[in-house]
Amino acid sequence: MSERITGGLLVAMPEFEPALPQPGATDELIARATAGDRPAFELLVRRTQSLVLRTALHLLGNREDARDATQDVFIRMYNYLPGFNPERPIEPWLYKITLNVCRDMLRKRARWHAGSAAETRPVAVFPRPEARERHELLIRALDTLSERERAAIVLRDFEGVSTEETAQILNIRQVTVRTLISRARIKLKQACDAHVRAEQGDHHDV
Amino acid sequence: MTCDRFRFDIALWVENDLSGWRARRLQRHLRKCPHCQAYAESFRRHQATVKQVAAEPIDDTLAAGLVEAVMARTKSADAQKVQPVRRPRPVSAYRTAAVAAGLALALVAAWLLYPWTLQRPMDVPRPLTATTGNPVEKPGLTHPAVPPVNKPVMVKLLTDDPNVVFVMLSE
Repeated sequence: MSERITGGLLVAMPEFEPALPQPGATDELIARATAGDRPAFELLVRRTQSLVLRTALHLLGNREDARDATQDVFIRMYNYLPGFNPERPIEPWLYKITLNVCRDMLRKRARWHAGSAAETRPVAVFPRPEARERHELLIRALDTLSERERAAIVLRDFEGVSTEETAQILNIRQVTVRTLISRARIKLKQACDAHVRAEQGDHHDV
Repeated sequence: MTCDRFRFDIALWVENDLSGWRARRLQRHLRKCPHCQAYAESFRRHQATVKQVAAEPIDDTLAAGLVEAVMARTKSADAQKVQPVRRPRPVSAYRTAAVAAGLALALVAAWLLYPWTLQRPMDVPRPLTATTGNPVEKPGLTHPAVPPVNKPVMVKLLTDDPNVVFVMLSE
């Protein structure tokens, strides 16, 4: 954490932790996989699966759907890889495919807007119990967001993608991204605060 | 409440997503508003929690066997032939109706155009007419034999079904 003093208010700013694998050998892997090298493709999948899994998990809200979506993402990647320019970074492209696959899955199940917390199955993707509880709370809160808000907040806050890149991935303007993420952050915070207040109320009742 | 308009700015400011003049305006406001300071601090803590959860390692069981499943789906088939699992689409009634309408239109067009093709005006030499309207023949030029066009022509279209035959008559 880095600290910033702003107008007398001490603000600890969380440092950006890149969620993406480091470039370098990945470029070579992409070139080899594009040329039909299956072991290279497998290694590429291994390197990028956590990025796709995590994004799909936050967009879909449960682990089974996230696994199915991740498989579909890599199948699409396999199909479209011959047309991909290996000189470009693969992560924005993968995010785009993941968003498309997840959007298709959610629309097919008519869950994007009609989804409710009750429909979300348990997530349980983190080994540590306290992290699991916080994560499930956030997943339930994410379910209250619109499709665009959810996509923007997942990329920007959960994946640590910059606003500029988020705008490129979602094919919208940066100012629209800022509007979406400000609304989404407020909704997410309100949902989390409401949950904490409800829990505190339960404890008082007991 | 005047502070309400700063809520969206605070939501951006805690992650350095606020532009220059709006950030400066918010900072001026924060210096004199303890309520917004508390809100910003609470927002910062919330964002830190989000980042903390996002940075947690995912359970290994979630990714177990995933790569193998992907490679199995891509192994047997050619790269271009591998498709995500999709349900077969039912034949649309609109599509069937559109094809039938197209066939009917083609049949009517053929029926209308067929006699016209028999009387192609280019085959018939145009008479050299004077102002009186009487045709004037040039010496040395003779008309080729003009096929009789007023004789009705019958066209039969046979189908696979011997009981179904389309008959078209034209003058």
